[in-house]
Amino acid sequence: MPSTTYIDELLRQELAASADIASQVASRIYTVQAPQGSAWPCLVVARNTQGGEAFADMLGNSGLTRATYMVSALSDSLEEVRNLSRAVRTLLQYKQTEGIRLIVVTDEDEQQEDSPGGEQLPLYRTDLTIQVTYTAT
Amino acid sequence: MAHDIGQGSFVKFSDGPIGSNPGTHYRLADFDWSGIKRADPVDISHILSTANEFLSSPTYDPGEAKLNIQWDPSLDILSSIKSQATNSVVTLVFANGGTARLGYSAFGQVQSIDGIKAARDDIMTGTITIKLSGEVGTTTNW
Repeated sequence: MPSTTYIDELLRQELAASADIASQVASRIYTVQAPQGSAWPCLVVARNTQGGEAFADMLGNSGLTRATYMVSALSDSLEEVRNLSRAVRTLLQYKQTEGIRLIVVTDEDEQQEDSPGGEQLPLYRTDLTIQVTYTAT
Repeated sequence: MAHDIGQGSFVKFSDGPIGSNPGTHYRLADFDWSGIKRADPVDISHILSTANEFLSSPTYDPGEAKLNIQWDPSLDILSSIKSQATNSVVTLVFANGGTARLGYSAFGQVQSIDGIKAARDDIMTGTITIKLSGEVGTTTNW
C-alpha cells in the first residue's frame, strides 16, 4: 500500500529515471542526507514532516495527501549545481503520474556553504522546495 | 450521549449502482439537510374565540439534502445517479458517538448534480441535491 516510504521511493525513482539527471549524478541520489565523503554533484531528497496534509472526507482519508519536499543539488562547482537544479526543475515541475498526482516547484534557494572538508573551495547548494500531491490510502 | 462531530456521517441510497457503499461511490466532504418543515399554521380565530386559535398542518415537508462531494471521474457517479429509481429510500446517517450511528430515512431522488468544479491545484468537487418525500423514519438499519 502507498505510504510515506512509498512516495519517497517514487520521487527517487523519478529522479533516477531521468537521463539528464543520471548523466550528472549517476546513482548519487540520497534520502534525508548525503553520506559523508560523497562525490559531487549529488541530490538529496528530504520530506518536510511539518507539511503533510490529507484530503479527508467524512468516512476517512479520501486517498490524496499533499506534502512538501526539498530536493537539494550539491556540488563544489556552481555550474554543476545550476545545471542539476535546472534538470530537476524541468523534470518535476507539473509532473503527473498515477502515484504522483501533481508536483509544483514552489521555491528555489541558492546557497553557498563552507566546504565540509575545510578546503578553500566552498560548497554550492540549491534547494528546490516542491509540493507533492500523491495517492496514499 | 453527547454532542458529536460530523466525521463518520454519510448518505446512502437503498438501490441503484451507488446504493451499496457510499464510501466507494462518492466521497462526501459534508452534507446539509434542510430538515422537516410543516406548512404555516392557519389562523382560525373567530369572533367567539377567547384566544387566538391556529390550525397546524398534520403533515410536513421532509426537505432536501445537499451533498458536497469530492468529485472522482473514475466512479462515474453521474451515470449511476441518472438511473436511480424514484422510489429509492435515502438514508441520512449521522455519527452518534464513536462507531454508533443514527439514520433518518425517506423516499428521495436526485434533483440535481451541479457546481462540479475542477481547480488546477485542488481536489475536484461537486454538489448533489436530493429531494426527500414522504414520512421520515428513524432507523439503525442501512
